[in-house]
Amino acid sequence: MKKRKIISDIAQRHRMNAPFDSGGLLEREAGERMKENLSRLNGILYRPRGMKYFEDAVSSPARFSWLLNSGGPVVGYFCNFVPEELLHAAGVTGVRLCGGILPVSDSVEDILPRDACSVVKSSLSLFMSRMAPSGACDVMVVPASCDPKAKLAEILNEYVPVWVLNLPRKKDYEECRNLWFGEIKKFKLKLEGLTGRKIGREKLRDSIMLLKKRQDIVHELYDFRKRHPFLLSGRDALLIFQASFADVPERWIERAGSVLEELNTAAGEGSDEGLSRVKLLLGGAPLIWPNWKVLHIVEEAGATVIADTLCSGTQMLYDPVEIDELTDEGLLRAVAMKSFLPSLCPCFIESEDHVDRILHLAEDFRVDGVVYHNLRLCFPFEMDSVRVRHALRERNIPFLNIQTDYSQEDTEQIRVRVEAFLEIIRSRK
Amino acid sequence: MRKRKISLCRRITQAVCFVLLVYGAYIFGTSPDGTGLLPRIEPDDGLPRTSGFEQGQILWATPDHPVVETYPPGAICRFNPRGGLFKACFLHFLSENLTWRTRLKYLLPHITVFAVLAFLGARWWCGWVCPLGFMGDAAGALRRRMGFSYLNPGQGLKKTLEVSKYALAGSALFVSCMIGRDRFKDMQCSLFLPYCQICPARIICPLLGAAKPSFADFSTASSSFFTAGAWMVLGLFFAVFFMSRRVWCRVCPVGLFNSFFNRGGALSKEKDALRCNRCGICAESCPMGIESVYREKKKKNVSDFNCIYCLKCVELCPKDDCLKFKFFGRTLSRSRYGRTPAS
Repeated sequence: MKKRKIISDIAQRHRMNAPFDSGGLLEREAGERMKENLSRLNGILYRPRGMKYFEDAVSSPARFSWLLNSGGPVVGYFCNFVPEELLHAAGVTGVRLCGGILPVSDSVEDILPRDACSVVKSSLSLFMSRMAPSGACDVMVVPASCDPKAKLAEILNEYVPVWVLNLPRKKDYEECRNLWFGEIKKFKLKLEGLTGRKIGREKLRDSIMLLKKRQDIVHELYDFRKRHPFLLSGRDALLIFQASFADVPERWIERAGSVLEELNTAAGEGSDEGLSRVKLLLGGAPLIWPNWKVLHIVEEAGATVIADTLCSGTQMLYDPVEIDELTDEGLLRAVAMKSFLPSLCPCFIESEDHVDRILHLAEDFRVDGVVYHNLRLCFPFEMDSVRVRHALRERNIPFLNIQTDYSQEDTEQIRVRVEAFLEIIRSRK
Repeated sequence: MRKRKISLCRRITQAVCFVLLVYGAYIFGTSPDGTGLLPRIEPDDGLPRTSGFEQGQILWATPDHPVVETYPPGAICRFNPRGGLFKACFLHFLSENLTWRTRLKYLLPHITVFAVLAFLGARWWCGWVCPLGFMGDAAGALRRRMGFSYLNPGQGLKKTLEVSKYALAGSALFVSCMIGRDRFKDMQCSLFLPYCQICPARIICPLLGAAKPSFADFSTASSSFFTAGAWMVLGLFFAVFFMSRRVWCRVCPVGLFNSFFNRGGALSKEKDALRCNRCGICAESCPMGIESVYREKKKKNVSDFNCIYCLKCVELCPKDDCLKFKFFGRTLSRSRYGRTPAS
């Protein structure tokens, strides 16, 4: 009740029209896309039984019931730059909003320019149609990572309160790190204002320790996939990671742990013996459910994505918060730095970390090739792809650059290119 | 939280060394008559080195706590509780012998010992052995217990400190050298060992034992200056260690001589730049505020001149095998992802 009230008050105050109601059109479209994706997932060679939970977490009609039924305020956020530990410690319901579906009947054309990237368009249209989870948010947190995100924040601010985190574009300067720490401090104060409760030291420490269990699981998955590359498909791995957007961490930790156990048993039974597929590393722009197009094409053509650098994939849950000092500020600083420094986002001025991470993973997993997903109109990723290509060429690792967006029209062109790429890799072996 | 074995080892080593170095003279029984476990080092020319000071003066030593030259851990500082003096503090050693104008051939064995120790440990001694550092860390632990966070020196202050450690060591040596000359002989008594006279250890060390040093010698202008200076430095010492982490060690001239061996010595720290995605945990946890480990993206060797080898970076780095601590090329410890221990 209270939730609705906040939103309606804000809508009254603002100049722009109230969000439109798509009449369930978008929901139907999203449902169809998800159904199609789920059926294609059935083609995967080996799937742990525990995957059912993750499929439901991202696609069942009741998937956001935990969010709508939660008593506290709902805070929606974009990107890994928002420290989840703080949201958890504050006792608010945090939910990640990055959109992975773009309706054909595009409703945001008159608000956004034609050349806005798919993520921004999709996120805005999900919000405008009041689809969960965007529609249920009391507050949105948007880190100003790239320009479209910053502007998206401004547009969203017409309808819901939006807190923008000013992200410095350089990691090296101490000034930048302090600036970001200041932003997180302010963010914490705002959260405390929202809930009316202080975020105590014990609470923050407990949240850090709870959420770190996700990193533990992701590290174990990472090591497992290094040893048994073909038991867990890239599509399932990414699904596991992204289900963490859509459920409470406790449940996710439990279910992901059981999938890991299942995988270890399967490996013990030798389920992957004699399998030989092309091992690929996936880099570049985020793939967000249900935008599984590139993954489907690559894996249906006989390759397995065994590692990725996507910010919606491994990278999201890879770096842990390391507590050095158990003081209020020490904890907050550790949380702030974890959400800022390990990022590989190309929105930073240096792309060294991004390129090095790809090189390291390629070496560590001994991949046969690298597929780089370029989201059309995301220029930072496109610019970085040049450096990635040069670095990989030096090491003689095959590289395929796929430029696409959320539409389905180019599926067959991409399939042809991917098949040719895999053919080249197989002939080199 | 992950288990922090290296830090625990370091705390234990620090505590043991603290006891050994401060109370070593009691434990090993170094005595003025030379009957202890540890032998005395006789002055080269047989001249007593305590002459020239009157009772109550800063550098004066009582007959029952005389200055005895011996080997560690007999005594580390001139002002140790039971008296005694190893040529362990390199700054003391240099200043004293510059003033006495000792011939090099008598000094060579001692210098060799210093060089070997510095080559083996470099600034590892600062992080794991130095008793002053231990007391400073204790002040820092108090701060953490009280829930305060530390202050970080800004880039400007860091640069200033970088210069001032050379200035401090240089001026102390310059004064010591000058008062050894005949022209300035009358200043010898008051300006002897200028750095020792204001070093925080000169007040802390006697306080830890039974010795009675001169806490308040305002008899002459110079002794008033040094007494006031020593107290101020002592206050500053605890204030700095309480408020920040190891900023003090950035100016310590004793550490400066060790730091020359931080690169090219037996110890080294290596980084696999490919494994690093610069999560910044090393830079954030470093008590010396060193950034080069975090920044380095090309070179393998990341030993910094200011590094005290507390190894917090190696301990906390979450990337497997990214950071390695080596002794003569042999890896002693490496970074690991720390899983949450099951509780």
